[in-house]
Amino acid sequence: METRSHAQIQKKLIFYLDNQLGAKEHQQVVQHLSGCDECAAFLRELQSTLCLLEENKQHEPGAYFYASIQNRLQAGHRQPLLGIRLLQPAILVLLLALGIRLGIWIGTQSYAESVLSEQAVLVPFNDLAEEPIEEFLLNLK
Amino acid sequence: MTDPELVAQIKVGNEKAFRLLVEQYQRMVLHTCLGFVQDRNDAEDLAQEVFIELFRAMDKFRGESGLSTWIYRIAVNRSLNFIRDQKRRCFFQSISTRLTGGTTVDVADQSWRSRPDHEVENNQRRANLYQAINRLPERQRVAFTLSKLEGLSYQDIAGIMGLSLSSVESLIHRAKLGLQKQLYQCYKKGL
Ligand SMILES: [Zn+2]
Repeated sequence: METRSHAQIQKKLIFYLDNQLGAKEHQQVVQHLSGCDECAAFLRELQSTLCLLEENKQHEPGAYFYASIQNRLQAGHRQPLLGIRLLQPAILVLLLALGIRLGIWIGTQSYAESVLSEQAVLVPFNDLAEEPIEEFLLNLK
Repeated sequence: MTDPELVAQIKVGNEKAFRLLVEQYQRMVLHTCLGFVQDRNDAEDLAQEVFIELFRAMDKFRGESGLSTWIYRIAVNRSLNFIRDQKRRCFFQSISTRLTGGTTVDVADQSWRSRPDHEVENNQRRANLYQAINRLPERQRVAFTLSKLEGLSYQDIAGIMGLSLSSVESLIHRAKLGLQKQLYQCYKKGL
């Protein structure tokens, strides 16, 4: 069978499963599937996948569903928990950015301090350089 | 009590009427939220928020559209907002992961190793399916998801989305084509 005809059929399978094909197209698909293992296998896979959507219909609300609504309504103007939970990552990033900024600031400050202290160390040496060593020794006497 | 009677009673502060409304629509709302948000706890949290919004906005409800149409609209909008927030959250999380040099570990479901084969297969299928649905354009996604809910006709979906019937038909048709294409690619990769 031509690859083109496989592709043509595969495009129709989701509509075939939902019974949305016209009589002629439906017949074409049925006929193709009876002689094509490849398309039939994909049809089975598609069906197994799409039927998982039905799972949602089995869920029932929890036993305290209404009680939780009442509690949240009574909590009144308090921020919903969901909102806070969603904001957490944003707050984390903000804190991280602040931390980095603080780090940079501390870094800059300590650099400035080290420049100052270097200068402070340099001053006496300069004084010593201006003062001949012999005179300094003489002054001690 | 009919829907208009329920609404009238809630508007005058009848708590019992609100409870009745919740009981009547809780499954519908939860299933709608689950169609968009796959985590059960998130969906239930969202469903509760839908009723809280409903309660607070009850005075604004004029009854021009049916009560269930209005409830569906709130559920869809809440779910879409949640998804948008979640995308933003993922974005921030990836940034903070990069900044801290950490690795993200998906601890959501590690129990698959001990499960039977068909369940492992279904987990993969479920992951493929919801990834494909999540990749659909928003309006296609909404129309398709609503079409899979119990008892909703294309006409109902048109009412909820505020679109014409033909627009809804076209959206669902394109959604199905898109899903089928993505699922076929997953299937080919898995062979
Ligand atoms: Zn074929």
